[in-house]
Amino acid sequence: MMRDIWTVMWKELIELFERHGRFSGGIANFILVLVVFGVVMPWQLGRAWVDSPMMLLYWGWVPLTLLSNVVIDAFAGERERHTLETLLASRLPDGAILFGKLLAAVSYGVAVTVCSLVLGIVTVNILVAHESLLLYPAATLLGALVVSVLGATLIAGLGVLVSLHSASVRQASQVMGVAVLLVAFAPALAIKALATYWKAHSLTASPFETALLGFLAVGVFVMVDAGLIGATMMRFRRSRLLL
Amino acid sequence: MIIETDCLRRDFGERRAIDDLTICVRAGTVFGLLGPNGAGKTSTIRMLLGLLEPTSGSARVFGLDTQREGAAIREKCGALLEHAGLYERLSAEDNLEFYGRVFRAPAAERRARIEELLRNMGLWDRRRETVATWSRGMKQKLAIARAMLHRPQLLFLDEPTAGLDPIAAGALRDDLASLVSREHVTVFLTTHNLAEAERLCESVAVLKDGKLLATGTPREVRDGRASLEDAFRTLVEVAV
Repeated sequence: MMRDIWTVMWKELIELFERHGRFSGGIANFILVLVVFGVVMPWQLGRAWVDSPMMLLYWGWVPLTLLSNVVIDAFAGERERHTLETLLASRLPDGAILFGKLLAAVSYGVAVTVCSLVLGIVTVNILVAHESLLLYPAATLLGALVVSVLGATLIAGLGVLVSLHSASVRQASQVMGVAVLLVAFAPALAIKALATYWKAHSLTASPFETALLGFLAVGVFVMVDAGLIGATMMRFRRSRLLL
Repeated sequence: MIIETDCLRRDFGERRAIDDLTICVRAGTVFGLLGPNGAGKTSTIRMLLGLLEPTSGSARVFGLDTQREGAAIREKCGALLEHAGLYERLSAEDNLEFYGRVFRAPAAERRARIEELLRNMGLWDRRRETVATWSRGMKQKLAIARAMLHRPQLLFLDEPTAGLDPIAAGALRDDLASLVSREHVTVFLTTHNLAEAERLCESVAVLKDGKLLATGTPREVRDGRASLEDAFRTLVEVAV
């Protein structure tokens, strides 16, 4: 199964990096993304790039902007380009096709995060004058990676689910646009809906309480991701994919 | 028998696409399922590959039940379906490389097989080109090479020459005939090109609106008429 998942991932990533038949075209695209997220943004934010806790929200948001277009192509794109039926007629198990596509999208999102984090720290140290070497605090670094993986999984799961239900990439894009808006604004709306007491209390919370709140948020994130992946697994049936 | 169907039926809502289809295909032969557009040929292939569930009846391929053992059936089959199903952003070589990996061919064997098939199809010199830039005839040849990559015992070809000009269709038929004789593969071919069926098939079945109208060797189905086309026209007109 793992080998089959890797085979599907390999194909997805090759396709992602190929642009008009040129591998260099796809790499150029990837580099452009890294310049924006790994150079321009850290340059603008300066020191806050390294130690602001708000950056965790940023790393959760990056996959939203990058992956939605990638994942809707997963099934809707294959269906539109008439490659899906041939793929389904192969010996690949359902799980390998589904998880190969999901993991390809997640790994792309996480690769952007990791490369941006590395580029970002170099940029901040070079461009923002500072006496000593700046490094990410361990908690921020770990948090950024965890949030990025969870955010990428959320968008990949949502995108694949939308893609499975859509007859065309255009239809999938329209639905995904609304879904991404909801995902992007849901945390802000949830915080706004919290009672005044909870808001005031969270600002003066002890480190232990803050950590607990963080674990709780990650737990909710994991459950939402697991629910989405479960829903895609239930929806993925060969006989239902041929519209 | 490599394929056996028993009263196979498939409904799409109110419409009956396949109506009690019972056919048998012997191993090592080329079988042609003939019929006009919408006769149910593609749905039959989909059911035989376990991609579509029958409404009733059953089908067995290699003695395996298509509903319960679809994965085992697909392992031994190659397929060129209604569309070539090629990844157009990838090169011809990468398309075959992907399906070689899908069928778990070892790397050295995979490379040798890809070269052998691309050379046989006259595509070797253009293997690094993006498929999107190719003609339909070349894409169909590549799709057949892909279907043959893992040396399947059974090959499904759904209208392989549809949409090709007569010269490209003829060239593809020649390639197909030599490939089939070289690789000793059973072929399940659907077509509405009756000259093609007469040339390639050892047995045929004629389908109209999902119903089986006739089955046998091309000579038996011709039943004294000048050509398979005459026999087909008569059968279809009588059915209407």
